This record gives sequence, C-alpha cells and structure tokens, in this order.
Amino acid sequence: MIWKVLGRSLACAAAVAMMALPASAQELVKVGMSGPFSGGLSLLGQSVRDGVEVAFGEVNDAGGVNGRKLQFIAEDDGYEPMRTIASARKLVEQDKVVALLAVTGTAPSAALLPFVMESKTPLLFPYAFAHALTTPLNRDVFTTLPEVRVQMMVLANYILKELKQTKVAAIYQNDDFGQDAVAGLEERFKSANVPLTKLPFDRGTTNFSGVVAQAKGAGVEHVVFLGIPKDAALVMREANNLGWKPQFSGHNALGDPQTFQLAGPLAEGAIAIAVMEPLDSDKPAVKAFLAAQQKYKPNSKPTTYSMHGYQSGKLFAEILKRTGGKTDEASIVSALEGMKNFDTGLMAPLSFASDQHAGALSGAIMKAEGGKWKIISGWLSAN
Amino acid sequence: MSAATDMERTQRQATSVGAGALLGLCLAAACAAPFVLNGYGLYVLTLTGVFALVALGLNLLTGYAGQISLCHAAFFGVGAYATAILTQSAGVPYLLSLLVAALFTACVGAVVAVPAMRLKSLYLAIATLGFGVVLQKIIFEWRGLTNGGGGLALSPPVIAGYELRAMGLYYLTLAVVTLGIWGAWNVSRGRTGRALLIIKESEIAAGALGIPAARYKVIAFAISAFYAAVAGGLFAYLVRYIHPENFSVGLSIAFLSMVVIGGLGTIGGSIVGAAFYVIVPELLRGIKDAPGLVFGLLLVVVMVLMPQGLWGLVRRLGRRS
Repeated sequence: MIWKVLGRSLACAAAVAMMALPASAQELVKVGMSGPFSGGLSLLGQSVRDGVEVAFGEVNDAGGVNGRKLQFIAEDDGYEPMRTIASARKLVEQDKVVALLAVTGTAPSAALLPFVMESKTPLLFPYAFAHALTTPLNRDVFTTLPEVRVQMMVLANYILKELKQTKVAAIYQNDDFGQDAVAGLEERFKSANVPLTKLPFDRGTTNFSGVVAQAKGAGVEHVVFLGIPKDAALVMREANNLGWKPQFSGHNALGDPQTFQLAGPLAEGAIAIAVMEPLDSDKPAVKAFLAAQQKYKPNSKPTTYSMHGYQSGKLFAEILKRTGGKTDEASIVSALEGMKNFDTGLMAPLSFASDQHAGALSGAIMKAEGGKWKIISGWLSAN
Repeated sequence: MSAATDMERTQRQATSVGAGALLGLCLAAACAAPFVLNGYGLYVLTLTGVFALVALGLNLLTGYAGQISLCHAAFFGVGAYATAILTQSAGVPYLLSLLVAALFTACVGAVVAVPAMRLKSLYLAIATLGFGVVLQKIIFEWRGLTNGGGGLALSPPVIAGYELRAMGLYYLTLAVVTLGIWGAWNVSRGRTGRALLIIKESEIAAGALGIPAARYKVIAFAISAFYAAVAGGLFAYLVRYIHPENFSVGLSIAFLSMVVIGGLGTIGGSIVGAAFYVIVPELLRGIKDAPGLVFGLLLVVVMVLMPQGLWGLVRRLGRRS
C-alpha cells in the first residue's frame, strides 16, 4: 500500500531501499535536537530534552520501531540562533540524523529555516509559537503547538459566545508577540462588530498603573493580558489596589503554575488558553507520561515543556511506524501529511495536510480554581 | 653596540621571515579547508572569520587606543541589516551594499565617538552600552524597514551571476579577513596606530606632542565600526536569518572577551581570540550538561596563566624556539 502512495516514479528507488533494508534493519535511527542547555533558558531546553529521552526510552524498551531502536542526540545552543545553526549542521552533516526534533525556541527555530529547506531535513515539532514557521508553508517544517494568533481566536470566540462580554480591553506587550496576539483578537472582535480597547505597554516596564486606570476608566469588564506571568501578576495587583475586579484572561503562558506563586489568590477565576493538558489532569495519557518520566528520568521534574518533548518523541515513533521504518525525507513528510485527527491524549487531536503543516488550530479554556488550572472546555477550534 | 643592533636586526628579520612563512602556511591551510571539511566545519570556520573581522576592528579601538566599547554588537547589527536591506529590498549588488553599509556604519561609529571624546574607561563603557541598546531598539522598532521582531529571512546573494553558497561565502570571508588583517597592520604601524598607542598611555602626553586625541578617537571608532559592519554583512548571509535579538549586549561582551583572550593590541590576538570563542565551544559539545561551565573555566585559566592573552603565549613560544 505504501508503494502506491509513493507512486511509480519512486518505485525504483524503493526497490533499492528494500534491498538494503535487511542490512540496516538493526541500525539505529538517529534523531537530533538543539536547545538551550546552558544559560538563562536552560531549564526550558533541558526539560524538552528530558521529555524526548523519556519517550525514546519507552519506545526502545518496547523493542523500538520495526525492530530499529531510536537514538537521540541533543546539542546545546544557549538560545543563540547562530549556534543553533552550528548544532543543526553538526547533527545533520556529521551525525547523519534523519530529522530535527523539538528544537527549542522561536528565534532559534526560525533561524534554521534556510538550512532545513536546503538540506531537506524535517524540522519536527519545535517548541515555538512563531507564525513564520508554517506561514508560508515550508515543506519540511511541522508544528504541534498552536501559535498565539490561533490561541487568541479561540479566546475571542469564548469571550463573545460563552461569556457574552462586550466591554473588553487587551493590555499587551508592545512587541512582535503582543501585536501578533492582538491582531488575532481584533480579527474576531471586528467580525462580531464589538469594539476592543487596546492598551499597549513596553516590555520591561514595572509600572502598570496607567494602563490599568485607563481600562477601568473605559468601563471594561474583561481584560485580556498578553505578556509574561510576572507582569500579569502586577496588573492584577494594580487592579486590586483600585478595588476593581474584571475578568482576567491570557494566552498559554498565563496558564502556568507560577502565576499562582506570583499573583496569589488574585489569580483565582482567571482564564487562559491551554495548548496541552495541564500536568494535574486526570487524563490517562497524562498519567502515563508522568509515570514514564518517573521511571526513565527519576531525577527530573515533569513540566509542560517535558510533556511537549515526550509527545514529540512519541509522535516521531508513530511516524516511523507509518513510513514502514523508512527514514528518508519524502517518506517522513508524506507520512505526516497523511496524519489526520491523531489523538496523543496530551493535547488537541493533530491533523496535517499537504497545505497545512500546523497540526493544531485549537486550544482549550482553562480556569484558575483553588490554586490550580482546570480545563473547563473541550478542544475548541479557532474557526 | 653596533654588533648588538645588527644581531637584533637579523633576529627581527628572522622572526619576520618566520612570521611570513607562518602566515603563508595559515593562508594555504585556510584555502584548502573547504575540501577537507563538511558543511558544519565550514560554517564554524566562516563564523570564526566573521568574528575575527569584528575583533580586528575592536582591537584597534580597545587594544591600541584603550577605549572600551560595549556597542559593537549593535554596529555588527547595523551592518547586517543595512547590507541585507540594500541587497534584498533595494537590489544593490551584494559587494557594493557591503561597502555602503560599512561606510554608513562607520558614520554611526563616528557619531557614537562624539561623547567618547569626553568620557573615559567605565563611563565610556556605560555610554557605549546605552548606544548599543538604543541602536538595537531602533532596529527592533523600525518595523517597516527591518520587520522588527519577525526577523529578516534572506536568500543567497548573487555575485556576477554566481549564487554565493557556503563555499563561496567562505572564500569571500577569507578574502575580506585577509584584507582586514592587511588594513589593521597598516593602520597599527602607521601614524594613526602610533597616535592611538600614545592616547592609550596618556592623553595629556599625546596633547603635549601635538596629537589631537579627540580626532583620533573618532577615527578609531569609525574604523572599528567599519570592520564590525562588514563582518555583520557577511554574518547576515551566513545565517540567512537575522533578528534584532541576535545583536544584544551579550554579543558585545563576547567581542570584547575575544579581544582580551586573544591579546590586546595585537593582530594575531584578534584572530586567535575569535577562533577560541567560536571553535572551543564546538569542541566541548561532547561534554554533556556542562559545556558552558567548562568554557567559562577555560576563560579564567587563560586569563590567569596568560595575561598577554593566547597570542602572547604563541609569541613567547615562538621566541623560545
């Protein structure tokens, strides 16, 4: 059946590959990753790496894929894009990895685009939320995490249809991230003919009294905050000082346990977009992930980052199963493009197509209740 | 006494012949490198060349004139963006836009130097730090031109109908670095170099000798910004994706450390320092989890054991043999 998919032109090459198969059956399948294992963001990079290692450990202990074991090579780039390119070149040209998996960071992943396109190396499931990775479409790039614009469309739908709130302000970080997010919100609000109050602030500021007073003065009942959790906490404090209690919401970064450490009880009732299941979810897939990390990496702590790494590792094994063990670029790309509604149990079901390489265009609504984030909706599509 | 001078002269001639031979050998090895290395090795080597170029320029400013700059990453960035925008959007030929961008950045460097005429040491460092932040912010905010935080993706440049890929860019970098070494050599041996050395020792003494310290400082800033900008223009097309955050203060500090580790006030030191900074972390990749730690310790060891930098060690070994 696979032969049919590949088409006649490839039949010849496939025959050669089949002849070579017995010899390489025991060979390892090498997969590479680059991320920050040193420097300020090392926790992020190491967590993602741990997650992939847990998944590969599990797959290998179950006999590998089609009898072949997976080998994972992770390289440090300190979150410097120029070192990410060096890492990727080393992995592809020296170690001969078949794909780059879970590369960590938005700018580092974006910096790899020219290289992966020219070397025809699949860049799979980076830990990044950039628009540029999948728009315009890049043949070798596939993502699972919904970009912030998609998240904001989900949130806007929820505000307008479920909460039925119409006096909404967006307090956003005035940079590329914030503007991208607001664009997503605005698109939905405009089509519903509901005005959106836009209040930007500069990254790095610690004084939010101005924007909060403006929002209160405008009679707003719902504040969408787009920035880091530390700043979200400051805004919540500022509103509290004014004796004002609007509904707060934000993108996936707000829905982090640290929001509670920073804002304390003020975070209660806030809503955020979930891009993956929370760690304390009752879903069996989450429990299985936690148990696997405990077994294979007992000294590391499960995080949402390691959950992404774990899912990436498991997805790669699934793709390898679907290619029948073939590791060339064309097989990997076509196997991924044929993946429809695949449910890892850790996030929204993933679907790819030849014209859609962003796997998830949906998110769920999380609510802060009793010091925990709880998912209160199903996976909602952005459209 | 004359015998002693003669001996000294022959010795000096011998070392200069030795240095020439060494230089020729290095150049030959550099020319042959692409045939031995894979794409990864070539990338690392090209990056070394790019940083060596920045270090050459910075060494004129810091090593010779004794002025600390923490805004070289910004010069590097202005050069990168100017070259990229001229080539990509305005359709100017790549080599020409490299030159124009570098001249433009040299002017920016001269503007930065104006307050530097009044400030010394730490105060100058902080002022240049501020300039670096401002320039980086301008690149970030000028979205219409630079695409801001979205970064700028570049397609390979074309020179005379030939598309410049990894190998072509390597040879271009090699040629530019060779030119850069020649230029730095001439500047440092000439009137400007001597003036800068005296300014470093004492500005009052320089003034007493009739050397206009302020003017020379501006010249040093401009030349060094020129070098950084050319390097930036090469860098942009080496990575083919530039982002304002590439050009942060951290990179400025990295440039400064290259110069100090390599050897202040030496040309060889600039090259060795850049090579150390780029290549050693690549060699340390095998050490899992602690490459940053080992590299940091190596920096400390170099500074403690070789106060003259790596080039000082090379020279001492050369003299002994």
